[in-house]
Amino acid sequence: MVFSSLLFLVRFLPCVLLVYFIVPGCMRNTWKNLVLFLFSLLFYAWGEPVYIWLMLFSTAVDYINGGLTGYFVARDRREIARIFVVLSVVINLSLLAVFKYAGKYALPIGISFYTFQSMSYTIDVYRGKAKAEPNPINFGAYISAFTQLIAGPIVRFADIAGQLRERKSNIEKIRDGVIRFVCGLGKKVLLANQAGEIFRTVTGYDAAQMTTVSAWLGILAFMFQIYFDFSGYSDMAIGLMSIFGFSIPENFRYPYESKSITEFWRRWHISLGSWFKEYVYIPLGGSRNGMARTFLNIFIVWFLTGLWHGATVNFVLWGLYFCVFLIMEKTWLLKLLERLPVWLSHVYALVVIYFGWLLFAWEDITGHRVYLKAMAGFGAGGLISRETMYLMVSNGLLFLLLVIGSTSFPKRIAVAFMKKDGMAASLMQGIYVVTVLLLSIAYLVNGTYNPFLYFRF
Amino acid sequence: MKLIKKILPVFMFVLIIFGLTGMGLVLEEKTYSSTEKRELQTRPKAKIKTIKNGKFQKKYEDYLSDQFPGRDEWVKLQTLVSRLSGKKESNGIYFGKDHYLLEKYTEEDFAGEKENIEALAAFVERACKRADVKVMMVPTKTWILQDKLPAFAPTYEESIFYDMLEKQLGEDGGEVLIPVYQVLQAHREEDIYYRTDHHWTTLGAWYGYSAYVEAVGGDMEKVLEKKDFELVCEDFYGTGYAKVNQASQPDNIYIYEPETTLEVIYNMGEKTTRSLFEPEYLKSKDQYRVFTGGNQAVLEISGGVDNGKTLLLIKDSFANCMVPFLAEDFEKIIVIDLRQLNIGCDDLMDMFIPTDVLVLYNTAQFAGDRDFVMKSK
Repeated sequence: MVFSSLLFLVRFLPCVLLVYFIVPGCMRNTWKNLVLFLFSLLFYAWGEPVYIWLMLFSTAVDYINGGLTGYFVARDRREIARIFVVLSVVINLSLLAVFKYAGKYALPIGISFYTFQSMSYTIDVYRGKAKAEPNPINFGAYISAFTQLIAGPIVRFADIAGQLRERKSNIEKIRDGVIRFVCGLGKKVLLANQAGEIFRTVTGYDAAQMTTVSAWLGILAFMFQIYFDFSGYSDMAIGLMSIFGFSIPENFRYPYESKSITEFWRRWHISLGSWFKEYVYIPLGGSRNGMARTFLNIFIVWFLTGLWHGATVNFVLWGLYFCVFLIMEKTWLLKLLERLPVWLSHVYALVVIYFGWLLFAWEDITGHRVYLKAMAGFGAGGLISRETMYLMVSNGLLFLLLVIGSTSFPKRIAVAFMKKDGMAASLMQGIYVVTVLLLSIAYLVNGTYNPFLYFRF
Repeated sequence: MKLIKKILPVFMFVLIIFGLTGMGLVLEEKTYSSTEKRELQTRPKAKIKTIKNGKFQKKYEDYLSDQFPGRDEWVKLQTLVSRLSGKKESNGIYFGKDHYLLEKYTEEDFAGEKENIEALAAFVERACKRADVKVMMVPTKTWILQDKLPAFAPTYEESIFYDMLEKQLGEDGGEVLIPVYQVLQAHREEDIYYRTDHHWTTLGAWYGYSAYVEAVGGDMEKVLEKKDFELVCEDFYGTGYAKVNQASQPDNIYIYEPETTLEVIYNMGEKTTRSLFEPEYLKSKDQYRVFTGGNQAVLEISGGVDNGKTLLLIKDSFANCMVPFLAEDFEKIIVIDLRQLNIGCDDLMDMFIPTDVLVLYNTAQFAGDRDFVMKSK
């Protein structure tokens, strides 16, 4: 199941909200957590019912490993505790290896996210950053939480452990959650999907249709698609968590506003970046053991970051591509950029990011020679055509919205407006929620509009 | 007041998602959609087996969207917003100028043109020895009305089709081909195509007919007399409309009713009527079927005139509104829709021994017909 579906919006979500808010919050939220756990299992099982066993297995194994780690840490037997940490990491990575990288099975949804959450749990317990969760219901609710199951953010156990037992649910939080969810839904359905449509159209061109301009526009559309898709999903997850009374860390902070690649990765998929920093880069020694070792550590982290995105070579290359720029920035480029005008830094970052998406867009880039040739200006379609003009004219407004939407500008306007906090502000919020929600539903319904024209001929 | 301020967005959100959920549960299920012209998915029954293999879930999601409260209205809203955002097309239909809905044809739609034209040329060569054969390939509305297209909108170059046709028909080309493209092109300012449907109008068909009569050397005065139509419908919403579920202006349907009383035998005796029209379809959602009740496998028309001539008309739906004009020119017309029939063209020639043969198709429908190669033999 995905959030941007009618099934979620008019069946699953109303049900889970109804049950969740009827069930009492007594016993330190255990009942409410049970509701979340059970609904998460249903959410997960909808697409591939067999994988529910995988989820339960994963939850049970990590519950036991974490519990034993905690038990031995509390008794100061860290060497035994370490065995269970290693066991947890090995089991989770094996699950990833078998289900994600071996390529024999259909990819279980969210496996890259919940295995990373699981590992953070045992490690945090081992490090004493969190206590082992004795209540399997609370733990289950954390690991399988439908809110961040599919596309993150990767919430570390330490960030949420306390909230599982005690969290304040109030109307402001619910309101902010609703607005955030609707915002994310709109980003996904109204912007990402439309941008995706452009990319799909251009990719579908044959050699004669593919012009240089259309090829460049296609990747630009992909660049927007992936941002609005991914950050929209994170917004929906954060919003839903907020409705249930949780606060989880942000995952995106206007990454396309970055002035360098270093900054980009502090703004893009933040929870993944900080996961690798916390559990790989720093344990490897970070930047404390000399230049050569630092570069090696950076290399390892970015190799893994690339690999995390998928089992094919292009994703690893994509990670290493950024690794090169990060090392350059660390050694000399950042200092140079600081002396240049700000707009030039923006251009530099955007150009690097843009070509990054070119690597990311296709699992097998060699199958897209026509596309690349057109980008380079040697395509059979020439520079621009009537069809390209049509593409630009009919999507001009969309591109404008995509550009504005990926900056912090709308947010700043909204914040300025909300400061007054009067009736007008609240009315605006109401109108925003209604408009974006109704339009998203209309686009989702239309996506299934499928007239069968038997009388066509 | 303070509370209202806080809960307004939440209230609206809850109202919408719970409201739509509730309506979905309360509203009666529909089994058929007249706008989409297809069966709708009804609520599936859950069984352990279908849940395990995922079929139930798939059907349930189909059910949810098919039975979504106010489904057609949501589609209209989406189309409206999409147009406001600058999109010039929806579901393969361009929103053209002057309220024209124009089909978007691509190379894919014409993928079969080479094979089909070759097969046609082979058939024409064989048939020419036995009858007076003519071929009329009616251009698509989009090709003729290019000036109605939105700015820069791409469409398939149908000249490729016509060039290929001329080349394949070889020396017979000039003799056999009816220059219907040129005729329609000359009259493109008139209402020769429907705004909401991909078919040509009765007027368009009349121009096609007059080109045919001119080519076979018939009586042009009689042709002019037939330019006398009767308005039978003022709210025709055609295929283009069905695809976008939106049109600001419905079409008129005119018909030409032959003066002679005809005998029309449907599908080898399925039924016999005295008219080429089925007016009850004017009240349905499929009004173009007023002409001969839609596409029939075989129609035998007689009683128009006593001249000993038999026309074998091999056609698609574009011919349906032209048949009335032809009815009084032949003693017998055999109207064949190859797509509905399992007999090849050569066998039809043997069966009916026509004096005249007319192959009448729309270019896109002809190029898209996957059976033509087989059926042309």
